Amino acid sequence: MGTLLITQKEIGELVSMPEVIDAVERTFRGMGEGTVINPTKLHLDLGDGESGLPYRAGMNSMPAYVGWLETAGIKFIGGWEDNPGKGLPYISGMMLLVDPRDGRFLSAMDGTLVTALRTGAQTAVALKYLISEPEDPVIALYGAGAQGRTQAEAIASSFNVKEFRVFDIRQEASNVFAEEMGPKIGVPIRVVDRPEEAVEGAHAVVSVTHARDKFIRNEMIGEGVTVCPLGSFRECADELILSMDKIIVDHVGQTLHRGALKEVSESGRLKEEDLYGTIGEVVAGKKKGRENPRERILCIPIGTGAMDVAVAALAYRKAMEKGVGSEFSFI
Amino acid sequence: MFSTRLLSQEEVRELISMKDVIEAVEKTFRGMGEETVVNPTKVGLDLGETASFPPYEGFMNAMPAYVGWLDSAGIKWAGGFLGERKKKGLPYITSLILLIDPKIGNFRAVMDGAHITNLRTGAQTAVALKYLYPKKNLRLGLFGAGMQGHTQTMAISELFHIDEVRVFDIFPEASRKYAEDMKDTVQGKIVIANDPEEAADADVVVCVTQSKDKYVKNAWIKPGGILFPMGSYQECEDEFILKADRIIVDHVGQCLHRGALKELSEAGKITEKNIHATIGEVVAGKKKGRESQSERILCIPIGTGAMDIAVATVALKRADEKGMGGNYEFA
Repeated sequence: MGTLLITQKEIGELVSMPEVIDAVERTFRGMGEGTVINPTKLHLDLGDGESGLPYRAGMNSMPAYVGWLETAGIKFIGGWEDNPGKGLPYISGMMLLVDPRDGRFLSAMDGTLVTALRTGAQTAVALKYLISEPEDPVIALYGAGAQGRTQAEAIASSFNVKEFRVFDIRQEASNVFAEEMGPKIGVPIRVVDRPEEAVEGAHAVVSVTHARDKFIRNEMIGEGVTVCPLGSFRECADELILSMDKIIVDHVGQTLHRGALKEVSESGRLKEEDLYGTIGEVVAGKKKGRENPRERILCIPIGTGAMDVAVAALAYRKAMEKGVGSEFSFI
Repeated sequence: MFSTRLLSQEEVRELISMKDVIEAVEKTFRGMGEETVVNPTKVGLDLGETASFPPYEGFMNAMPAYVGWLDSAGIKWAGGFLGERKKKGLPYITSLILLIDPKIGNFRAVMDGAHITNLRTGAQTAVALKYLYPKKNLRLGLFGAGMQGHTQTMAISELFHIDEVRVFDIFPEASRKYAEDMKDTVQGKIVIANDPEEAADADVVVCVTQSKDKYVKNAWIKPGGILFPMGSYQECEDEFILKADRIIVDHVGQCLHRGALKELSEAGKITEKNIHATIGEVVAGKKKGRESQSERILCIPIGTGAMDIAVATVALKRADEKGMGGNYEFA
């Protein structure tokens, strides 16, 4: 019984961003309809630099079952803070897929590209239901790294974007981003000097930074703007979070304990009942998305294993069709 | 950039013996006691084992861990399936193990986890007995003559002289096969018991069944006796759990929510306070195992990811030395 091994490069050739967006949208709908099982991810702490192990790293175990694909799987992925300084990739991850009917391992594949693709697609799908200007939106993007690239690619493949405004604390990163991504996605990219400048007249703000300084302040965000803070730490000011008209997340358990909402949730200022709903409920039509052009919406698709399993299952199916990948018999 | 070693079940079988596994398990228990092991409570994905959806009669458990004495981290993703898997004649357990280098996060190996699961589950019992059973000779009562029954016997026979095994299985054919398979492993004789009470007449009773019947009676376990209920459900009477002189487990969090203690724990009749020690604390010499000859002990090594990661790492080291297995670059 063979298990199909698929490399990062092969995944890149097998799946296109529009296909990933489609898979992510169907999986959000499945979450809303209750055909997806996605336990809260489990963390293995390998040290934070202050206590515990000496590695400044951690691994997340993210198992899920996706009903519309009849596939179960897991992503095991983590980040090593000291790796970039050694010329090594920050993220390391792998995925395993299982046929839930008979428990056979269908595939083992790289998990880093799947993560980048689905993280971009999650935002694009959420914005379809939440953005105030679906025709030709202006998008502010904070963070011009690898995540910023897949965010821009996914959003540009879903909308006729008028302009991306990019800010990064390293302006050089923004310049390289504009040069590289402009021609690739065919959208004008303006590099700005300050975060405030990026958001003027923007319809959505997408933030993919390691910031902990709450640089997205309340007064920066006007009526009708959708804010997606995707960083692991604290990108948004407390007053911004607490004054938004709607807070929509992908996974209630996970978003209250990680990323943007962690601090206001753990200090008791934001409770589960303050969340309007999940992206899944909105996509499944159980809750309304944007209800008027003035609403200020905070949307946090922090990332779920279900999306990884869906995208990996898509890559696996296409690999089987095309005869891509190598087989290995573990048993 | 990095090469990942691939090891099949056959190769894992060639690389490690039960003796190796017992040694790795003992060191890892000591590490748990000395707190050089990180082992979060496993996260389950219910694929119809107990849930009504989805309908597959199976589950998968994600068991990540870090093992200090080997400086190795990884995850075992393992499950059990009845349904179609059983119809196809495949073994109940399906499993793969991923190993990473905790220093930089690269994936060092992907290997079969089913054989390691079977061996380490036996080894856990044998190592616990080494610290809880004072003599060299013992009489073993065994419930469940399947794969797990075999590996329990193999492991115990490595450390003890088994004067007699009394085996009981609801399928007499399974007991007969066990007696044939194990006749060279067991130093003494193997008796196929006619009823459960006859099998329980022993110094040490090991239960590896899928039963939900609480079939082991309190009265059957004599002074000085040790019971290992290893199944997923409660195999012994409430009365024994409540009256045993000591309860010793491998992982407090896991044991209160799965297996023998689950029901009484959820009813509030057994709490963390009723657990005398972990096997790790006993092996590390932090707590006493047995204090008198007459104590009746309930010991539950339900299984931790740390044991799997330890054994898999030993197998990988051997494979590296011998150049065994496949190699693959996922990223």
